[in-house]
Amino acid sequence: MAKRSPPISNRVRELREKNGQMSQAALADAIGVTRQTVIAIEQGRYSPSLESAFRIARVFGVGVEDVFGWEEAE
Amino acid sequence: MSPYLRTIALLSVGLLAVFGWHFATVLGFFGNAPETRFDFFIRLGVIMIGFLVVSGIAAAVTARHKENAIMPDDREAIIVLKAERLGGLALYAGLLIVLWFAFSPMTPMQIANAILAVVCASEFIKLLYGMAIMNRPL
Repeated sequence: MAKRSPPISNRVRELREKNGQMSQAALADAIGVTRQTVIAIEQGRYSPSLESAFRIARVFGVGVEDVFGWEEAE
Repeated sequence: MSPYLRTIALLSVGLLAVFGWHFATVLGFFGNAPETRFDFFIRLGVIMIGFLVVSGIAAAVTARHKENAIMPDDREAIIVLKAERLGGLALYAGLLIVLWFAFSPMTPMQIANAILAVVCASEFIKLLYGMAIMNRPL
């Protein structure tokens, strides 16, 4: 059985684009992960650690809950 | 693939290629297989020292490419952990199979090569599984 994506949504891509078209590589450098990990987070294939989540939120100057949300199953 | 994972994958492929050559000589496809314990350990030692040197060079080159590129990030650490877990299971299973056959008439050289083959198989499984889960949800 294929593993489903974690039920966590995020606005990383949207916030990146709002912040002067910040590139995935620039965000990756800012939070200390690889660009591949940023891509996986944006595509919902990976839920970042709490530390990375806080780092992402701090880069955009918002709270963690403004970046990540829990998607309730219907 | 990140520089860290690419380095690990390339080193694994290189190691498997060298051991592939070793097993090709053991199976008599070409070259000479080690016949004594001394020959076997000399070959193994040369391979391991060569691997350590190449690993060091690869790590240095990767580190020059990017400062934090020789350390896995959160996601990569999970990929490596999952791959190593499966590789570990394969290693245990393979060693049990070798133990089973060790009671039948086998020469010490055959047993040594069988153990080496199990180690290589577990590395191969680790590599394949790591690449397979690279783009899957973790």
